Amino acid sequence: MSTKLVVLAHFLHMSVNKKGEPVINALIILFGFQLLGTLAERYLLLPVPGPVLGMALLMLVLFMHKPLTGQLKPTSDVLIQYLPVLFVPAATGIITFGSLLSSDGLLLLLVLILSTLIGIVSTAWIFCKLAARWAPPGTEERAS
Amino acid sequence: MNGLRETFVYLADTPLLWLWLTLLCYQLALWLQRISGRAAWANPVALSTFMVGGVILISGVSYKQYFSGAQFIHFLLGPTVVALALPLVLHWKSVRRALWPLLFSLLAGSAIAIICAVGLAYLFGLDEVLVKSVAPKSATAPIAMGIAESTGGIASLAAVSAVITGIIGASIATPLLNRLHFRDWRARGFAVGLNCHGIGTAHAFTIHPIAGVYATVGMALNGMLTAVLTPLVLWRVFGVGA
Repeated sequence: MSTKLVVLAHFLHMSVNKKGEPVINALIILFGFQLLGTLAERYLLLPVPGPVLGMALLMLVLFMHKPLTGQLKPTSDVLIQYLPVLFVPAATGIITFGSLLSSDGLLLLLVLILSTLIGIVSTAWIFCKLAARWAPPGTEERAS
Repeated sequence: MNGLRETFVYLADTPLLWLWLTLLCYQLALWLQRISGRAAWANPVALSTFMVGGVILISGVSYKQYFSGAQFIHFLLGPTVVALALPLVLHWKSVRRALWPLLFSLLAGSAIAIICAVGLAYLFGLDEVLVKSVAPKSATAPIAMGIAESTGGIASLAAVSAVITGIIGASIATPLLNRLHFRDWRARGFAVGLNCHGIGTAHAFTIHPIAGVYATVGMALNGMLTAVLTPLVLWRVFGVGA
């Protein structure tokens, strides 16, 4: 099944007209890989959303066809720049959970705040400790 | 006055009003972020979510009605997540070099996120069903819902917990990591993406491209790992089949 998907991904890439409109080409590829990812999620029964699988498949194809990167970059840069606003409609869904204002809700909120704080700091700290030994940051990877 | 109400009811039924409101609130939030000098409380996603939520609650429309318009913005999440493949491929050399630190801190970070949420909720004396619902909060909302369903939590509460976690992380990560003098963009991005999924990753990209790349890695891998580790942690606490 997964080899079939890679073959499909190849065909998708071939079907794009190299002299066509770049934005349309980019959208055909991005939506196409989202479609493939959705199919993969459906038939491989993975606990991963379709778009994330689509991203993994697109990575594979980009490694095999480097020039495609340049073609996709302008469109994907714009999309990624506006990534935050795309979360607003789904995030607004928290208003449907009115019971958050109860005493249990406030405790839950406290749990989320504390565990997020601890999680972020400890993950960053562990990564830094390990990276100091195996892969110290290059100049580009460090804030000045 | 009646005419105004009628006009609103008419407009509320069109997708256009809600699409426009979402963009307007976001623009306003960006402006607030700018004039506050990028203060931690002025996170654009948090602010615009509160503004849109406030308008919906005051005007009395249902979330469903709002979403019928806003779904056109929501829909673009799909291709944008696919597009995250590009920065990953472009910075692949850096990611490969950091492979071992990434994998080990992924395991540790993922476990810490779940154990912290479960442990704190348990200590605070929350109901078992609530503990199970917050456990997968670091995975992206659709994954968290699936996990909560299979472990006996409430799916909608799991989704809300995930969204709130994302907003908390996007708001506090930068001032927190600055204060603790973390300078490695890889560590900063990875920690935010792992703990705060998509909303954290979106925030990381607005701070630094390398942070964004590592946030993507953290988000994608932790989504899968949380699905595996959450049932294990919950079994330790509540026993099998509890």
